[in-house]
Amino acid sequence: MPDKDELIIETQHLSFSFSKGKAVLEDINLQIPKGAIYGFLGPNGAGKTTTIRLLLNLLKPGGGQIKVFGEPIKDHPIHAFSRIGALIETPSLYEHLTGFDNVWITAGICNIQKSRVLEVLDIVQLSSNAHMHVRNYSLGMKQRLGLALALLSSPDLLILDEPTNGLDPNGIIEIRELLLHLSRDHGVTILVSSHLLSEIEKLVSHIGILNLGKMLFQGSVKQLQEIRQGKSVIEIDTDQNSVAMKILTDHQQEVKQGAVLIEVKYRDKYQLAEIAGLLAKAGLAIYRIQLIESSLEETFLSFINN
Amino acid sequence: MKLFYTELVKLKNTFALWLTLFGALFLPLLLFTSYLFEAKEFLPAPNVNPWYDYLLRTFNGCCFFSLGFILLIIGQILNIEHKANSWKHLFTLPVSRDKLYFNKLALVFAVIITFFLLYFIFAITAGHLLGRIDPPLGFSHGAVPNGYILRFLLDFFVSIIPMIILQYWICIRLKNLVTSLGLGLFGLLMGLLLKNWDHIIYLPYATSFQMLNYKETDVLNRQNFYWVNAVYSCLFLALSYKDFGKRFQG
Repeated sequence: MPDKDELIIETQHLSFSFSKGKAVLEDINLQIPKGAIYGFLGPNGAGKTTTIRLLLNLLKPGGGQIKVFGEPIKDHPIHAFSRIGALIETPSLYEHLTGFDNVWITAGICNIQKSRVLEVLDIVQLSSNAHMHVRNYSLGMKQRLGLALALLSSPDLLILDEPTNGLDPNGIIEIRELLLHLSRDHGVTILVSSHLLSEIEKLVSHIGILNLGKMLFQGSVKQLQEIRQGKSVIEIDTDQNSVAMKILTDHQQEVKQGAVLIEVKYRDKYQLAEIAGLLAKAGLAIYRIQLIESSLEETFLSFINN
Repeated sequence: MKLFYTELVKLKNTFALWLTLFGALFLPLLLFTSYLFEAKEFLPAPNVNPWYDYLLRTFNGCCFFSLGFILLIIGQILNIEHKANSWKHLFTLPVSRDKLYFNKLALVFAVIITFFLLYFIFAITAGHLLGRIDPPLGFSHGAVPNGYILRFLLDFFVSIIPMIILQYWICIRLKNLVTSLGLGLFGLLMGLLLKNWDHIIYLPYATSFQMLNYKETDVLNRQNFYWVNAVYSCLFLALSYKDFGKRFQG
């Protein structure tokens, strides 16, 4: 069993700027536990790719520290890279070569056997197109080939920047299942950045929300669900809404008048039955009582807009 | 060695490979057709070995034309990485930047050496062919002066090493092939314009022009020539290596 407390990636007060006085990242404290699938969310220009480039030692931080596998990445990058598979932005592919050649080149550099090349091509379902020139690949095929390169060294940590870009719904599902399999059955820790909120929701165990270079939220999906739950309301409509509001206020419910209907802050599933009972007991006719849950998108937007 | 082989694989189906072959063929073919169709112009005096005159033209062609091909070949080789946007991928693999830098440089030198070997193989083969097709040209009577060729090749290669390293650095840094090639051609043009300048030896892109009209009996200021090129080579190598290792972000 993986040690859940062990942090595979940890940054402390990480900051970065391309030019003086214009911070791209400020005080980023990433904490990615072993075995987690960490969804890195943020709008375009939030600083996700810059953070990933810093984690991979492709940029030098302006301040703070980056630890990967418990060690500062700048001290032992080659040792760390032997355990990391990465896909940054668009895949780096030699389009004049075949898919096989592309994977073989990386295998040659990393001293990996040919059998593993065939294996990863099979994993990303490109075996039948392995000897086709990459310039003839579709966007989705290129993305899968990029993923094959990242998987080649059987890494302990996968860092994927927008891995589902250009994939059709089937492709997205396949990649999701592959990542879930790698995490569940092989204990691979995965950092995946995406702007596809619905996709992230189905995949990750932890979430980090970044905007304008600042970390707005970081925690488990459970913690985010609690926040989402806090933003959910029960909408109520009766024949006498003012009486209903008084009854609910008297019974310690957080009630407010919405645009049209009464809104009660949602606590738990038993609350609905309780409210319905109170209103019925008071002889009010209930026209509507409905739980309006905050979606991840709304929660995300509320973080960004706040 | 495996790393070098991966560099070779990247050359498959590239323009750089064809350029090495056809660039090396270009001038020998031009000389061959000139000798063939204007044979009277090139008839040697009695008891004169025609190879010397023929090789002098080959050497001058090498000084004038081959450098453009060399710049283009270096640009094409580095453009493979820029086009694939692959530096960022290579820098996240468990291999040191030193190895990446020197393997790529070794490939550049290997391709350039292949270019010159092919150039002279084609030129000498063309000479022998001319000797068979048009015996009065005298190529089948005189012996090929191998020592003369080797001495030229050594001096010429030494003269272009600093330029190769400098151009390699420029091509790593500039993603745009036209810009890097333009800078290299500008350097060559300056070298050509200033070729009679007293201190021309200090201009890296111009040293090869000192080899024009290279005579076997020439006694150049050889020691100074080797020293200047050795110092420039070491300097450019150290600077570009440091830049690649510490500052280049891909």
